[in-house]
Amino acid sequence: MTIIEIENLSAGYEGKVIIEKCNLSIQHDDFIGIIGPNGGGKTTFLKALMGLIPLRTGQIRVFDNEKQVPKILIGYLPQINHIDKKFPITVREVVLSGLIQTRNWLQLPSKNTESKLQHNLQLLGIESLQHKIIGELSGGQMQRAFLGRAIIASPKLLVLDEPSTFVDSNFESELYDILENLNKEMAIVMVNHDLGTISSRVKTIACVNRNFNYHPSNEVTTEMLEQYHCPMDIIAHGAVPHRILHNHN
Amino acid sequence: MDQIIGVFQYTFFQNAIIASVFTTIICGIIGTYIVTKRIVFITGGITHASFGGVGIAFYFGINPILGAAVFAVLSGLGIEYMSKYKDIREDSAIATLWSLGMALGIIFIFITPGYTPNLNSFLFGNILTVSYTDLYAMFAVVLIVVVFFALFWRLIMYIAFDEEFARSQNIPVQLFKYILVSLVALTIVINIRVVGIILVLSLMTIPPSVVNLFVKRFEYILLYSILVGLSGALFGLFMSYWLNIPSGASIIFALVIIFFLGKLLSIVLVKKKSTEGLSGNI
Repeated sequence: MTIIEIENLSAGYEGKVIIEKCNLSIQHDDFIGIIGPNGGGKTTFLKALMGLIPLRTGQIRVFDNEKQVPKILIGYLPQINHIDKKFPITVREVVLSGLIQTRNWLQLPSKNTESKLQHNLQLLGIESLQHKIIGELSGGQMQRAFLGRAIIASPKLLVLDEPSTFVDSNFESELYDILENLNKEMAIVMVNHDLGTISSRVKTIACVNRNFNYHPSNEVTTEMLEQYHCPMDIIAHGAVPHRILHNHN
Repeated sequence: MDQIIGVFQYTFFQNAIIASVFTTIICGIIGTYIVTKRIVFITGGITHASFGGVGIAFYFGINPILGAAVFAVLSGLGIEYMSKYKDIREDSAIATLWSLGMALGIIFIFITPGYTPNLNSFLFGNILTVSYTDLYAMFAVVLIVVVFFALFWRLIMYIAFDEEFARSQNIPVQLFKYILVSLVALTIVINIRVVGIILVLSLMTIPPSVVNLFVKRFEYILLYSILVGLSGALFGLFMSYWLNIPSGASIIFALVIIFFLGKLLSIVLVKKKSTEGLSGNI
């Protein structure tokens, strides 16, 4: 079942085109990994997808139960480095802010929101941290809180921008287990620079490097690596499972 | 003692006390917003731009505070509108606006024929000359700010913390930012009478900075900033009366003293906590 249909999308900032010719249809159970070089337009694509920046061309249609609708609930986990870590806000409030559009305008607490919140905090293992200030958390704990904020409203689509930065490898595999579970209830679009993780955890892959190329499998091929323009990166990571790498010769 | 009670019999002093209360309520709330959202520099720009409005109003014989209000709100909305475009160097643009406002103010006051107004009262304020009209205007702003924040503090906090997330959730972020920057501008203008254009910024920034040394929650910083601001304002007001020094400067001075005392106390508390932690480990 299609939830989002992107047609001939191009977007950018101040007259500069960053990405163009994007065509993609997102199904309700998709788990799409987005790879591409730095500055290739991965984050720009996510922002255009969520309507955070105006489209230069093309259109995005949104569906709920096969019917076209103006919008659906989208959960968003932004890059963690854009967050002001000195901001005086508790973990509780950060996670609750994920309900911002499903609660009433005054954002008054209710029994329903409280039980949702506690369930969410339990799922992510951060109940004991809920009264802490966000800046007091470690990188991994902070990512948990932001993931909590992204999923508390049970969105139809979860958008993740580099979720494994500043995270230790223990939490990284736990994070992907959580995502695998969430994928049963929502579509996931994830930007990640780590090729190894992408190919083993996602269902399909899209390469973004100004152009947009969708590959309906999770196999990283030689052609894709050429588009990726970044073989150095793969060597540096050293953990690309070689079952997915065709021989370069 | 008689002297203390005696001074309360004067209307100008009663007005000054009421003005202090109003001022610190507005500044505590708006100050918390500008400090946590890190828009203190923008606020400085709006403050000084408003002086242009004072000058132009003088030239055309309009109420200078009204001129300042129009200028402040327009420059605030202008900055907010421009900040959507990433290719503008925001800090340089604000600095230009900052001095442009002052320059316009000086030029227009200079070419105003006849009587030259006393600039000091606009630059440094005088809480002891606050009139009933000023008090009514202040009360109106108090009412607007308090009601707006009482209703929407959570949304305001969420937007200030992560604007992009709020926008991804279809919250009318730009509308909120326009409203808030207008409230910031009104706060500045209403306080020109009290501490003046040059000093008003620290009336907003010092109380939340003091409170933030001890308290790390947005909603508590809002409330306690009002108390800290009020003690600074009253302390400064009495100092000004007893020592016969300008009230605006003496209020700011009192707030700075409170800030340093707070900083000292927080250092002592942190030290005490860490030594306790050490002995606990042993």
